[in-house]
Amino acid sequence: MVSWAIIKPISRAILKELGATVLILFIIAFSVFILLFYSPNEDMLTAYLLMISENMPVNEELDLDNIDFTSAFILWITAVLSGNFGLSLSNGLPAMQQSIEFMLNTISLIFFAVLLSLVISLPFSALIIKNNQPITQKILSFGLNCLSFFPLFWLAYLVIFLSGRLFDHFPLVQQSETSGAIFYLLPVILLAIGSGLVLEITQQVSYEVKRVSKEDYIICARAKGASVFRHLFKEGIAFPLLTLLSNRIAYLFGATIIIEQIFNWPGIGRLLWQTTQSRDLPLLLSAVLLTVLVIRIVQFMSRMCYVLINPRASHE
Amino acid sequence: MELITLCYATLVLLTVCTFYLCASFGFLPHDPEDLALDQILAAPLNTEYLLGTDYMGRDVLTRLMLGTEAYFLPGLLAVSLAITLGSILGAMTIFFTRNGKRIINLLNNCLQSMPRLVILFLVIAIFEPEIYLIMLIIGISHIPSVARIVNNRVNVLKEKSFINSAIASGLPIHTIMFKHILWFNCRGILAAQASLIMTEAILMETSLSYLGFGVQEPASSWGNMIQAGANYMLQGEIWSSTIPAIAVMLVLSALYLLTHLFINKLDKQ
Amino acid sequence: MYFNKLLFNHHRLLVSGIISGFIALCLLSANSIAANGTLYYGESIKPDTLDPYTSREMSSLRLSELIFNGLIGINESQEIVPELAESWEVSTDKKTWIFHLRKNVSWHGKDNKPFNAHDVVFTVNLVKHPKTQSSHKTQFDAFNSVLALDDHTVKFSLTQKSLNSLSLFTFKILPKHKLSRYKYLNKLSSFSNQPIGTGPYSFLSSNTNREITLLANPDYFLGSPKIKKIIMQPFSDKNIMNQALTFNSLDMVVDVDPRHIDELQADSRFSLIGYNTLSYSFFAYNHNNALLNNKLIRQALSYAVNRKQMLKAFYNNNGAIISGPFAPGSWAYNLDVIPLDFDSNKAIALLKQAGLIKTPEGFIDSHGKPVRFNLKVPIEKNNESNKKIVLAYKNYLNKIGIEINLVFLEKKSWKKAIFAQHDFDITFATWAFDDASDIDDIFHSRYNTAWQNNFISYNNPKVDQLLGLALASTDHQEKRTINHKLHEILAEDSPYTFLWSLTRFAAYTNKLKNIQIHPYKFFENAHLWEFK
Repeated sequence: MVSWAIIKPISRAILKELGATVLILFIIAFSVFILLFYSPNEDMLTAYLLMISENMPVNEELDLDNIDFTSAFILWITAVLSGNFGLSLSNGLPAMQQSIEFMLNTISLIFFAVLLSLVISLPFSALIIKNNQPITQKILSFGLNCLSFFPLFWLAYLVIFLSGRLFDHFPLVQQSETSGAIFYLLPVILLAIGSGLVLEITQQVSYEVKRVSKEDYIICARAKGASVFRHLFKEGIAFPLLTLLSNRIAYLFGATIIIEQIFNWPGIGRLLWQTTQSRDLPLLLSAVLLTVLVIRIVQFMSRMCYVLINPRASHE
Repeated sequence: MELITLCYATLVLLTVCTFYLCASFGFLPHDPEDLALDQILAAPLNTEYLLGTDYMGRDVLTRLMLGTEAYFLPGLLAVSLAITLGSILGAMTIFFTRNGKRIINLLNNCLQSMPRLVILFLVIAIFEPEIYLIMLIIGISHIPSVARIVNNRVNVLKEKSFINSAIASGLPIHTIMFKHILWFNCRGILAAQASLIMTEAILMETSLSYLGFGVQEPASSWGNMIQAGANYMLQGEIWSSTIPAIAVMLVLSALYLLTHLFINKLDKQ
Repeated sequence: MYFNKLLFNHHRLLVSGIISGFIALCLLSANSIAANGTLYYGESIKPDTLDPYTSREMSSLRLSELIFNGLIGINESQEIVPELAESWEVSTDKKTWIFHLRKNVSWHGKDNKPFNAHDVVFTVNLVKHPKTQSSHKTQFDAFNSVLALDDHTVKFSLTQKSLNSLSLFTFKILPKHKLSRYKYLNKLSSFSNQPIGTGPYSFLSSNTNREITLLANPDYFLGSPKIKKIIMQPFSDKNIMNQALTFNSLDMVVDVDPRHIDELQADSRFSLIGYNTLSYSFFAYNHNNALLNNKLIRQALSYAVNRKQMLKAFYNNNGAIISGPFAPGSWAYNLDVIPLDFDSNKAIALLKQAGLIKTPEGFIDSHGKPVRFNLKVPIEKNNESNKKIVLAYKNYLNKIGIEINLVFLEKKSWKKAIFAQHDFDITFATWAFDDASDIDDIFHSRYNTAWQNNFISYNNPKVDQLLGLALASTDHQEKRTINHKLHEILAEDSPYTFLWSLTRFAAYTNKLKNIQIHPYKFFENAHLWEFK
């Protein structure tokens, strides 16, 4: 009975979130298709539909040149759902497979950037909580904020310039046999700091921990001599981090577009840029949909973690 | 402390406005199209060019002044669009609270799972890389987030039966919507939201410049100045991109400080 | 406070662990950089496919030069050298060619399959297949039939005799045993991504970034290559590529951006090697525009532009100013025609002569409208010097009183506007040529429809006639005379403002020696390159 009491809200939350995810993915796919359908460049869509309908059992009567919106959308969505994203126009390889390869590289970049931000900002926020001086805190956060007000690519150039001048070293180039952590370092640092992630984690965590430690039940528990670390961790660190992650993950993907461009990182962001330039529609669409899917999965997971830690949240 | 930040912020924003006015009335230190091909990438603080020259030998200060228009006006378009439509949409939810909230949340979630640059890429690939179109999209994509904030405030007000009593007292509905809800109760958060959107629009324009989709030369904008200058940065010619980059940073930090000041004031009230 | 301390200690442990892990990893990888015997070179475009036929990218063609061989080759001083063929004979009517092939050549791969005449026949038939996607098809149309007389002799019969038939046989040979199940070749073929050839280097691997690793082929018939491995890395940002070169992460950059030439020239660690390309840049005038249809106005625009100053400021004088429609390296170029000098007074005089009226605000036409041209230029992120040129051009014309409305278009829309719709007044572009130096399709009036190369709608009966003569001529000397005449007429008529032909530069570290670079094939003698 006890287990049921926990499982029920969680499973309900999972179902709800899953439903929302499917709905959101559908809305996005739909709006993307609206854009596509009403684009001034009509042959682009026709060629694309022709390509994806090639290896599908299609109704012979379909006239792809003057297809109406509904049947075009149905054609497209069935192709997409059956995993058929067409072939890239520029190199003729299956679009989705390529996008996935690139996506894995981006995920590793983002993963390390998030890790690094945690490594930097958690001790930082501990420091802020500890000596509790509003002025230093303000100046510190303003300074960090200013860093994120510089355009990201300029910041990257500056860092490369400085690392060249000061350390006489340029640790950025990937060399397949020797590919090591150095290759990861600068892009990861820039992504963590330049996108403001470090700052936000610091601010949120220190604010939340302070707020929670002033709550009545914590004061009460501490007066009783009970350990409050678990509560503090849950409410002060885990929750804000999870919320932050699900709110900022899309923004991080946006920032990687710039970072990957500069550091020659073979990720989805660079792919998106290249395909936009060459109007490689099949590859662009599969990259966009994959990006949305990955972001949605991350948000879903963080929501699940939230519910697991705090089953009460499933009602919200 | 507050006075200092206020002075700083107004100073910066006033300078930008002066730049804009100077540029539109033609008070410029140099001819913006005059190329001094023998004085390429001159360092700042020399006798002829106060802030140096860029890679074509054009005066950086002149282009900085001229660039205010292309750099800030599109952003303002995005902001005004997002704020007006978003707040109206949000305020409308007084009529259908429950479903309104749901729809707004759903739209918001959609936009939160799509990086804005990706939306822009799609639009660029399908239409054209035109800066006003891009800013239109940025504006539209912020409507749900503004609407959500207004909607939250509406819900709070509803709980306090503020709205019901207003309706009961016979005030016309548009007065309640615009005057009581939006003006009396939301201007603070709306202002904060506006400055956030502005910041994002500005940074977005700069990023797009780097990717080659921003404002195109010969029109000058701070974004394409930074981008063009950055090409020479690794060879040690850092000034022609650093100066506009610092200018961007100053403006954004001024915006940020001003907003915080504003919010603090409102909180105290 | 108790909880703060706890929190802090907890994290200090974790943090110091992670940080020291990071540092250790960094040190580890820093030591292992720069393996000897491996040449890293940088490209700005990632190759599309790796076989010699399906891609038009220069980066793909350069790589296929390392992996494949032709029957014969052309070395860096434009001489014919034998490659897979040892010797050849030709019939008196120059229509039948017989090639005797090398006997000791084998394909890459563990099985060491020998190369023979059937591979040659197979290659020709494969590329000639109507479904094969290739930009080399026209070259193969010249072959009427190919026959393997025995394992080491091939007979070609040509459809017609032509001026330099021998250069037809530089095409790369593909392995029959790998491709036998294909009827035709396209970009999807797995062979196009994992090629096998007879060349000095064999394909080892490529990753998602299209970083491509090639391994030396010890059995190469012209001698085992000295450098063990060649790795190609594509860079999306040219500044970063240059930075990688100067910090020794790359050993060679194939095409140095003009803005980095100065810096590399001053650096004693690097050598720059220039190679002329058979190409030139120009401003083209749309002859559908009534004003630009006037020869005097076109000449005036050419006079108004200071090409010497631009070449010096933007390219450090690394190029040659040209006077006419041929690349200066080619035999067709007429050295007697002298490029127009910069002379803004003459330009103004010519404009007045053409019936335009000069006012303080600039020139106006006979209807009183200001003279204003649309200059449409593609956005090319990696080619900043193009932007500089058009900005300078606009500036020069503004100075003499002609207004230029500069429109930057995204590349695809630019192509559509220029080539399909002819919707422009002026544009900036570059032509690249092969040895044939054929300008028929650029200036002949019958090529003025959509997507043809005479996008300026140039129409000059005299030029048309001469072009026809040049095309029909089979005598080299005669063709040369006609081309020189054409050069003269076109220089006078100024359908384009001919600018310059640039010298491109490859940069490499001085650790490398024996480097020679072929204008467009680049890696022609890479098997002789070595590290000191």
